[in-house]
Amino acid sequence: MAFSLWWFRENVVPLWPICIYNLILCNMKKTVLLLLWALVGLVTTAYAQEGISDYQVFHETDTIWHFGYQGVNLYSRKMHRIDIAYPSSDKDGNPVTMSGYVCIPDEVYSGAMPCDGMLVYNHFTNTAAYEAPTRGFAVGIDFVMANPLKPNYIVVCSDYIGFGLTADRPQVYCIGDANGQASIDCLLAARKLLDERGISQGKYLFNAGISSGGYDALATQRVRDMKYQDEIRFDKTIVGGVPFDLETAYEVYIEGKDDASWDPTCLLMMLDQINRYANLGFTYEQMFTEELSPHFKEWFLSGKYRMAELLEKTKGKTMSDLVRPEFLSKRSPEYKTFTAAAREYSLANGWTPDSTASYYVMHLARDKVVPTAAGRKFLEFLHDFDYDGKTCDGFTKSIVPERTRLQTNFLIPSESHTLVGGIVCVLKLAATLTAYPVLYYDGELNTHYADFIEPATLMGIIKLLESKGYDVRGMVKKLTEGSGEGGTDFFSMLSSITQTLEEYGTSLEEVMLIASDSGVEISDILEVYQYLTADPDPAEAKTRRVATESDALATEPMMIDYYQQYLTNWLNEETKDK
Amino acid sequence: MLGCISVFAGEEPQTKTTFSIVSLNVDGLPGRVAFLPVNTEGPKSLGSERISKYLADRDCDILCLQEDFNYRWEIWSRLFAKYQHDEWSGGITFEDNEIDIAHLQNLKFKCDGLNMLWHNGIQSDRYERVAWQQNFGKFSHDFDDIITKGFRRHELTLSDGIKVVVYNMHMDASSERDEQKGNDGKDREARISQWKQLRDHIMERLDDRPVIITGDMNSYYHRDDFKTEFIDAITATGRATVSDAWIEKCNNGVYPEMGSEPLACETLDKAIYINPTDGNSLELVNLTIDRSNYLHNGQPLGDHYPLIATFRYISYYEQGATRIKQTATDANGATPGAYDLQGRPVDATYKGVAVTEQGKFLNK
Repeated sequence: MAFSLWWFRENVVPLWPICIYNLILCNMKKTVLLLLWALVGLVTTAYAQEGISDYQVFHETDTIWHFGYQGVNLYSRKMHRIDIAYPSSDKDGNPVTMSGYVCIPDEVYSGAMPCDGMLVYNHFTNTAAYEAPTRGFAVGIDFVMANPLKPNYIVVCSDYIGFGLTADRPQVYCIGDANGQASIDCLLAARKLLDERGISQGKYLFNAGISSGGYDALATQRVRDMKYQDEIRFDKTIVGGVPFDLETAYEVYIEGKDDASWDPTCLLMMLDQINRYANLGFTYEQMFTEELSPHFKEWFLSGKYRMAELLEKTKGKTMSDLVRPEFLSKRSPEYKTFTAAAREYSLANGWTPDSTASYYVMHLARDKVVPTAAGRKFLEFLHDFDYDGKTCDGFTKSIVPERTRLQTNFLIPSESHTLVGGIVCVLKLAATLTAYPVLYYDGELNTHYADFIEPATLMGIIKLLESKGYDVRGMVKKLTEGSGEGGTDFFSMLSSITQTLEEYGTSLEEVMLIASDSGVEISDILEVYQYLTADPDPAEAKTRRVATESDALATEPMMIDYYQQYLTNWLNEETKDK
Repeated sequence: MLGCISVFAGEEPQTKTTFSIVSLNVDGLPGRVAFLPVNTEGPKSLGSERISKYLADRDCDILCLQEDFNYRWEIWSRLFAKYQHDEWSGGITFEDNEIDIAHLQNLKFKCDGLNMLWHNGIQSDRYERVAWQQNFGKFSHDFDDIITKGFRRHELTLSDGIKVVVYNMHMDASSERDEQKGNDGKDREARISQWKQLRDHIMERLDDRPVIITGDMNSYYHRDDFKTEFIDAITATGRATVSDAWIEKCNNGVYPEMGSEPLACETLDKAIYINPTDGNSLELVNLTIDRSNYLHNGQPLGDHYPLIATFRYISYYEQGATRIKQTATDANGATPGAYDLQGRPVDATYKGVAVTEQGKFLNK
């Protein structure tokens, strides 16, 4: 039945104009048939609007996902995709029949390999109707599943409102948590389907998305935290390039309104979404310039164009070229109206996050599509969330995986949201899916790995180097000699560092921000500075060997030492055996 | 419900023979697997030959070896002439296994590291290899689950015709790190599960023959409550008595309390023997934990010391006497399976090599 709903929606409803056209041409017989056909379609469409009570499979196919770029397929993987219609609800809580898929690696479907877990994948920005996941569009997730690591996970992906069975509705984009509800309902339906077919769901459950998909992944986590704590627990939510805080994003867009290197489409869609979602009542003519307003509906809402095509249409335009000035001024009433609505429908509003959840959050340091500051807000939200009057230590930022429940990567100084940010994130996702069954095989973090990362803090690394016999203080003293009066003077050292960073196209401020995003605060740096520049205890100093030139590479000796030890053992044994 | 039928005429016990059995973990993990260091401090090739020589010199009747992985030729080198042995299930090596690097979670070596040898003239009538149903620690907690650990059961007929059942096994280990951090709960859980599995396996097959259970149990009385789950549980059935050779000879018959202070003299290896009620029985003559000879240049040859027990066999009846003993009956009093006149099962359920993984026969 669900397949017919979808099929009629997609194929019959568009017949009405043809019917009228035929009627005019007096081709009565054909017209009557077409009208009957369309009538059935309308009835079933109305039924679809009311919603179904249980999932239904409407399409099932073997397909192939590829890992490659621009037609060059480096790797491929056979997948078995089951498209389902499932009951969900819209932002107002009205029942709605959604569509999504459950996609199973062929090895798992055939029973040749055990299933390690499930991944709720939240697709990124789609604008064309044919980009619905149930139409076979799998860009992004194919990189995760078909890369050489081949994680044995079952992928669950909702079309979201505005695609597939709900293609007649406008999509919900980076606002509220409606798409989160859609993903949760899709997961529940998928679990039921897999149970009924006797397919294992494995041990692990992940939730992931990139860009607007990252927003939806956080919305999914939010819905889970608020409503499904007993039924669902994600081992990790992995997101990248997330416009978590629309208000902050809006601010940054305004700052870059005349900079053509910014991609304006995100702001355009954001304004349209807030306006519609919050019923603000602005017309396109009021919001957009004459250059855009006549085309906005056709370009962004007709479902005809992909994002790449929209980028082509807005290429070379600044936000000032496309958005009216009153919407690009922080003092305007329009700006205040929009930011108030953004705040009201923000994910942060009313979300009591589960303090035991685990996140990986990635964002490019210079993202020119989704402002980095909007993603950073999520780190601040989690860490500063008031848990019984205290912030949560578990959500202390760190770049080191498993040292925290809030692993971050804001390190990469790139602007390329999709090609760099997107790929880094999907590969991280693939690596995490693959590593988890090994790192957590015994139901806890691998103890050897835990021991290995234990000293992975700034001070920890220094202590480790010292325990291996390296005179780190001596090395620092040697490095900073002649860098100003007094040799190790803090400010002359800062001045020297600033000069060096400028040569690399960055600044001390940016480096400090990146360090902060990675969990290294100024207080940590000062602690290290104080330790390294203090006079060592003379008795202690005697036990250390004198630093050599090769010790200058301060971060490498630890690893080199580690492997050197085993290589030497190995060579000794090899020689001995012979 | 299990019941026992015992038809027995009071006869004087007749001493038939004595025999010795050694249990030794030969520490045969390779120094390195691929590029990963595994057992760099182990005896390796040369040390394994020394172990072989030691075993040959000791000249025990039955040798129960554990961790006989990568140096089997070295271990057997001095033993071929005088001993027969059971199957060697393989070493820890990537070369012989197709390793799916991307899915290491599926990695499991088929070997168990167990090997039993017996003097020429002794015969193994029936042999069974069983994997533990529960393990813990694949990539941590001493990697127990990365190999197919379990036990092997041999029904032996000694040279003068007497029959004993011998179990050789290797149970889950705990790493020092986990013990120190109090993170070995799941290791203990796995071991207790293994003791229970062993108990049930023994009791399902118990007849009039005495049973020796030996191997590397990785168990201490103060941390694993196997006294309750194994020794007391079997004793409580009334079908047999259970004795630990170390308790009997080295600890004045006193079982250390669970949770008490560790005893330096207790080893992870055990030699436990079970005498069926009204059946043939064993008497412990001697027990040695050979710390003084198992050395080379003052250093131990491996990370375990040999545990050598000498038993005297006491027969309560002449061979071939007509009797029915220790047969299990169900709730209706019926006797399942077929038994010979000595009450021994005569069907051949466990012929050949039968490795069970979670209760499934892989190779009949």
